[in-house]
Parts: sequence; structure tokens; C-alpha cells
Amino acid sequence: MREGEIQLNRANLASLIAVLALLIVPHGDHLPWWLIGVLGLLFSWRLFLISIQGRLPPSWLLLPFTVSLIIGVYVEFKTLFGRTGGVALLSVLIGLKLMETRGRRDALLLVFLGYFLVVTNFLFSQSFAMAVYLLLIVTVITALLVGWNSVGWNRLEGFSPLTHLVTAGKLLLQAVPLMVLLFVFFPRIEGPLWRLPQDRSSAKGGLADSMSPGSFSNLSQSDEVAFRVEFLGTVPPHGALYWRGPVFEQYDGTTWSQIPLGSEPPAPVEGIGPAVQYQLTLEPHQRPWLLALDAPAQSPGNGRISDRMQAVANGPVVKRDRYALASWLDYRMGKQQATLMLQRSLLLPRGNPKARALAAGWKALPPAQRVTAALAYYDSQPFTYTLQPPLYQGDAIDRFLFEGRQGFCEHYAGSFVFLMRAAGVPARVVGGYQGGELNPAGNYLIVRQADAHAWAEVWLEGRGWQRIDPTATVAPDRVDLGLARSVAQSESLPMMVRVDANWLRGVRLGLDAAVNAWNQWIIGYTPDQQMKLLRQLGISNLASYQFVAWFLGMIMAMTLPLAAWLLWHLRGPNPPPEVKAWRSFCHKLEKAGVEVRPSEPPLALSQRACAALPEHAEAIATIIGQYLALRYLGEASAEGIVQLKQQIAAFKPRRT
Amino acid sequence: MSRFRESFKRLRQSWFVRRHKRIALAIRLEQRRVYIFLTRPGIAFCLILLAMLGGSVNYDLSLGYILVFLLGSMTLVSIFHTFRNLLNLSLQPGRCDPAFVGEAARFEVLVENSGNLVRRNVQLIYEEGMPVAADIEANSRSALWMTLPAQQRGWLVPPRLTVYTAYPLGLFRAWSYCWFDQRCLVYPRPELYPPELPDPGEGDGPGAHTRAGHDDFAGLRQHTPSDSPRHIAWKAAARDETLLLTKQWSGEVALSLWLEWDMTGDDLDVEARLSRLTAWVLDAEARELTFGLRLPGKVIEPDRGGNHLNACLAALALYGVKS
Repeated sequence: MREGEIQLNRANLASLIAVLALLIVPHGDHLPWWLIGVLGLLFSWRLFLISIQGRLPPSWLLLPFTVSLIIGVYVEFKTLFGRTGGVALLSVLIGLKLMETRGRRDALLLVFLGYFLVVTNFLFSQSFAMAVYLLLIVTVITALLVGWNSVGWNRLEGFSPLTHLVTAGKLLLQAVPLMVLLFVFFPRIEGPLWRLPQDRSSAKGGLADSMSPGSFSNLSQSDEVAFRVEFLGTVPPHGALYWRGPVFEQYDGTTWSQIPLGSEPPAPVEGIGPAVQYQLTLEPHQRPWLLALDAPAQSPGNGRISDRMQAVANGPVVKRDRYALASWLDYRMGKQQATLMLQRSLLLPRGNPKARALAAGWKALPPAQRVTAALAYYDSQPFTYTLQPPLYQGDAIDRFLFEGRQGFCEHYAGSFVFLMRAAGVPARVVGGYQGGELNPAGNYLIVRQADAHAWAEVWLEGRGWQRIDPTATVAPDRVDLGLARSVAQSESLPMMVRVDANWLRGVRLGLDAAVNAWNQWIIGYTPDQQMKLLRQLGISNLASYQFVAWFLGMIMAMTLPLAAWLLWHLRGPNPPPEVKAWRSFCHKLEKAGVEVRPSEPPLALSQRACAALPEHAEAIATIIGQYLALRYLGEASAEGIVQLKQQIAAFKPRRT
Repeated sequence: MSRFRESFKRLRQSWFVRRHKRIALAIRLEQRRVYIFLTRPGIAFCLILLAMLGGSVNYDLSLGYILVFLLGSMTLVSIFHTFRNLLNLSLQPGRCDPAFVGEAARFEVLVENSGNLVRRNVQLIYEEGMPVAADIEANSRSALWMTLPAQQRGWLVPPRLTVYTAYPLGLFRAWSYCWFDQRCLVYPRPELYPPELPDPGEGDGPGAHTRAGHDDFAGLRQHTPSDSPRHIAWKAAARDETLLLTKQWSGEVALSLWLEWDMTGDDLDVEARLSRLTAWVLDAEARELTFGLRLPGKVIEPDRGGNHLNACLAALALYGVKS
């Protein structure tokens, strides 16, 4: 395998540099600014050197530069591996490799690293747009690879880079059927094979671990998708769509927080009426809880139900997760509840005397009427539901209930639970989402971060835990129609949450349906999905000989026709019929032991053949005479050819 | 380990040698003659694909899987593209030009593409040396000239020719061997600063006493193509257009120079003597002298012209060479 170090084609090298830059650009937002600067400098320096055909920097200069850059990456990321650190290191190495790229071998390495950079981009985004962008780049990289293997010295006319692009496109297109086969049937392994500590990315938007003033109203500014739901059967009414998330039981005067989950069994639930079946696709939110329609009737496949009736995953949800669930919209939950849980649902910190006094007035009533009394209080006072509530400090509940009276769901749920506990009714705050938007383009529900909501649950003897939503008392439209119809028009909401229908919104809903399909079928094609599909095809075991044989057979079945088709293109123009007949005659002679030399004129062959096969001399002479007449004497005719074919068919020399 | 490797290499080579005999005719690269395997970059690419697959598993990247499968399938498809880029080409030995020691001997190889597909970047290489690459158009024949350094006088037999291609992706290399029955005559290296041509009187063969000269005009004779244009009687030609005559000089016919083995000096070895004689032969031809060559066991009668020169050079090249 000799590799002549061929001088690099300048245009090819410049395109390679451009492509590598295009692959690093999407990494811009997770690389430090100094690294981006250094990379920009290295890339433009190399391009400059190409244009002036200057000399590359010597290695004694590059080596300390390399070492210091690697140290810089290490200082920045505290590691050289994993997602961000690895990408930074890779881009540094590519930038420096450019500075010593002289020959074809270096360029090939860069092309391969380019393919690798494509994968690193998928670490951060697997969107459809990114896929299209990177597919185009992969085609260009492949065209460069073709370019480097087309260095002929007898260049044909009109042989341009476009030719390489077309060749690359053809190769990739021919690879697509096989790729689809591999994508669907190549046995998937559940990752991760290894995990690096900093790969657990920090929590971003979405519900927080705790509920403090402002944590929900901030979410209302985000039209990011939290999850999508497909219902089996009819979609329940908007007012019933309470998506249960974390349960907040502890209050310290400002913040409601969760009590760590134990391994207690779920609270007993009696469902009333049929359960609603649905499939939920949750966007990664880096926290362990899952969302379920209140109240879940079964454990999700990827987790369990806690004693607070929350669906929880086995670990933080770090990638998009799809699970099937069933829920009862009408239920009795926790009629017999452990006393410990009821006791902790009555605990309150010191402070807020006015609220305590208000609740103390209801203590004489039976528990169910204390709840009604509290709701009646919200109804009778001039409370407003707003996205921009004032910040209540000190005795926050008192300030809200008796002074400001402006709040978002967290204020209503928090103060309500406070009043209930003060009145001696066990109560807790439940966080989650309420409502959702039905996308007619895909017939599924989109629940956005702006749909985040908090409500209360009270425990009543004989009834169990019951959902009370004080927000619904103040702003009934929030629950029945959604956020946008429950706040004043002047308040700013993100575009996708507002009601004013415009055509752009329709387009975005259509796009969301496409994104959803992409996520379900391409990105969400996990080992589980694969097993499900294979089971439908009657394959139960990926390690069985049958499957392996079937898989290899399919690969062959897809490859061989392609190979045949490619080789069929090699054939030359069809020879005239007399030449075809002549070839079969030569073949017969060879079988009979007469060597046929391509350079020999037919008459000379005739003489030798007659000498070698004297008993067939007459036949040979006739055939050759006929052939010469047809081929060279211009006596070609249909009958003549038929005659020749017959003569040759009748010619049956036997080897002596 | 290396010994094992060596013997494996030898075993492999001998297998190839047995399969591909030296042949004087056209060789068609049929399916069974074309081999294909990963190139070194191809192996590197496969390793990178594996790393990409590992990353896709680890981070559960569906699009990473798609990319790995796409590139893997493309690699597989490229096998057929590379293979067919070489398949059914016909190679045929062509001419070869004699060369002097120290020059490059050139061998012509005719590559014929009888199919409808352009063959890109087909490369030919002798066991050592630089490859010659060419695109061979559909239904055409290209003549490629291969060079080998002429290091020793006598017959230069080219080693086995490897024809290969890595088009389109360079991940696979298809190759075949052609061992053509071709040979090129290598003349001895002419001595750089040879002594003056010997005086015709010095020799003791027949005609040695004649004197070389251009001085005395002796008459005209019919022109032959080997005559120098300088000797054409242009004036006579101008008078009669059908007549092209060569002026004859008394020295050329009567005096012929003998270049002899013994004239080269006793202190020289065989190669140096041949080298000097070669220089003299070339010098004598350049001066348009009539000369003869006398080597031990071989005498070439005095004559002039290209054929005579070639005969003399061939005699010098093959002196002492067993045929």
C-alpha cells in the first residue's frame, strides 16, 4: 500500500478548512470565547497560507502552542473528555493539525475527523434542521474524499469539483437502503457504556425542586414544550387535565419543598369510571419525577408510583422519554392514610398571625366546611390572578392575603394550604401542569412550560386526599380555557401561548407535529422501541441464530442487486451478431484443445484448427469462411447469420 | 514475529506469482484476477466508525447511529465501485525505447476500456518507483508510458506490473498484476569525456590505412533517407525537382574508421572499455563518419546511418551477455 505523498490541491484543502469550520460553528455556544478566537485565528491563518502558498509554522513553535492550548481546555472544563471537554479538545487538535497538514495523509485524517465532528454535533442537538445541515456537510466531506482519490494526471475535460459532489451524492444515495435496514434491525444496546461525571448536565427550565414565590410565574414566560401526550380514545376536557408532578409538603415560611421519597408503597387509590390511556413523551428536564394525569392508575414502565401518588423515574430524566400510562380522572385516594403523613401535613412554621387568626375562626366547623369557608374567603375578597405579582416579604402569606391580593398559582396554592393546616386540615401543595393545547396536525396534546401550575390537596376523613384548586376560584378560566384566556390581554405572554390566532401559529403547530413525529420515530427509536417492532415481526430474540441469519440474508439481498446493477453498467456496446457467434465458436475450439490467440487472423486459426482437428476440417473451414464473408466482405445478411449460427451449433468437436 | 511475517509475505508473493505468469499478450482483468482489500486509510476509517458507534451507544444518539450506518453502508457500496473501476480493463504491452545506462527506460502499456464507463484514476506501478495514474475514457485505449531506471547494460526486463485503483473513496483498493514479457535494450553509459576518436591509421584491420576526410568532393549519388541533409546537393535539386542527390566525399567511401576493443587502453576494465567505445560510436555517428566496430567475437563492418548505429550500440550493450 504505497502512498505517494502528493502535493495537496489548494482548492480542495480550502474547501476542507471551510467544511471543518462549518462543523465547529454549531459548537459556538458551548466553547469558551478564547477558544473560538484561537480557532478562528488558526483557520484563517491556514487559509491565508494557502492563498500565498506560504510555509507552515515549524514544529518547535507548534508544540508549546499545542500544550498550552490543551492546558487551557483542561483549566476551562476540568477535564479533556466527555461532551464539552471532548469537543473542545477535538477542535483544538483539528485547528493545530491544519497547521501541519502538508500531504494527502494529513488531509485524509482531517476528513475522517470531520466525520467525527458531525457526531459531536448530535450530542447537543438532534433536531431535524441540524440533521439536514449535517447531511449536506457529510455530502461535501465525501465529495472531498472523492476529490483526493481522483488525482489523475490525464484529467478529463470538464472534470470539476461538481463531478465529485455528484459522485458523493450517488454513493450516499446507494447507501440509503442498507442504512435503513441497519437502523431498524441492527441490535441496539442500552447505553451508556461509560459515563463521565460532568456529562450530567445541570437542570435547565421546567418545574423546580421547590416552590417559592415567582417560580411558576417565571415559567409562564416560556413556550418551550414540556411534554406531548397522545390519548387512546377521546381527550379529556381541559379542566380535567391536571398533570401531577412533585408534591411539596414542607414549608419554611418562604419556600415549599419536597420531603425525600422513601420506598413506601403507593397510596391506595380507588378509580371511579374507566381509566384514561395515554402515551406521554417527556422532554428531558434533569429531575427524577415524571408527569402523570391525576391520579395514575398504574406504574409507568420506566419508574414507579410513590406514596404521594407521584410517578417517579428510576433516575433523572436526561433524555427524551416515552412511556405509556393510565389514569383515573375521578378517584378516591388514600382513604386510610398513614398518620405520619397526615401529621407532617399539618406542620407550619412560625409567623403569619393574621392568616392563623383567620383559620382559627373556622376550627369549629367540620373539616369539609373549613375548606368551603377558605374558598369562600378567596371568592369574597378582591383577589386578582396576574403574571406579575408583587414580591411579598416577611409574613408573605399575610401580606398576600390581606394587603396585595395579587398572585399567581403558587400564591393561591401556598396560602390555601397554609390556611388549611392552620385550621387543622391536613393539606399539601401539588406541582405540575394544567391543561395543554391540542395539536390538530398530529392529534396530540402539547403541554408547554407556560402551562405549569400548582394546586392544593386536602385530606378529609372518609374521602381521602382531594384536589382543591384555589386558583380556579379566583380565575376559573385558567383551568377551563388555559392561561392565555385568564390573564389580562396587556400581560406579555410568549407567542405560542397567546390566543390571538394568526397564520404563523398554524405553521408552528404543523412544524411541531413534524418535530413530534421526528422525535417519536427517529430520535426515539430506542432498544425498547426496537424490541417492540421486532416482536410484531415475530422476532423475539436478537441473539438467536435465526435473527442473525435473517439479518445477514437481508444485507446480502440488498447488496447483491446493487452490485449487479453497478457491474451491469460496465458492459461495452453490443457486438454485432456474427461476432457473438464467432466467440461461441472460439469457445468451442478452446474446449476442444485449440488455443485461440486474439492476435491471430481467422485464416491462420483455421489452418491450425484443421490440423489439430482433422476430422472436423471441413466444418471449420465452412464456418470460418462464412464468418469472414459476413464480417469483412460486406455480405452481412439475416439469413447468413442464421446459417452461421446453425453451422456453429452443429459443430461439436470432441476432445481427443 | 517479523520472521513469521516475512515468510507469510513470501508465501503470499509466490502464490500471486504462480497465479500471474509472465505473458506477452493482452491481459483482461477478469473477476478472478482482481483482488480487493481495505487500504490503510480504510482501516483507520473503520476504526473511526467504531468510535462513532460507541459514542452513539453511550449517548444514545439516534442520528449518530444513522450517520454510522450511512457511512458504513457507503463503505460497503464503495467496494463495488472500486472493484468495477478496474474490472474488465485490458492491458497489453507496447513498445519500449532503448536507453543508455543512467537514463530512464520507457515501457509502453496499452490500457483498453471496452466498457461504457469511464475508469477514474487507474494507477500502474512497478514494484518500485512512481505510479502512473490515468483516467481511461469509455470505449477507448490509452497508452501509458512506464519508466524504470536503466542501471545496467543489456536487456532490462520490467518487474511485475501492479495495476490498482482506490477510486472513489480510497477506502478500498482493487488491484491486479500483469507480468508482461517485455524487454528493453540498455546501452552502456557513454564515457563523459572520451579521448579523441582514434586515428584511422592506428588500427590494423582492413581499411585501417584510409584517412577520414570531408575535403574532396567525389561526385553525386542517389539520396537515401539516412543521408544527412547537409550533404544534399541543393543546387542540383533546385535545377531538377525530381532529383535529390547526395554529394559524396572521397573520404567517406574510401576511408572507414575502425573502432576496436584494443584501442581503448589496457588499463580499463570491460565496462569502461564499452563505455568509451559507446562514446566513440556516438561521436563518429555525430560526425557522420563511416565506421566499423570490432569487439572480441563480434565484428560489424563499416557503415553509416541509424540502423548501423543501433546495431553497434546493441552489440556493445549485449557484449558478454548470455542471451
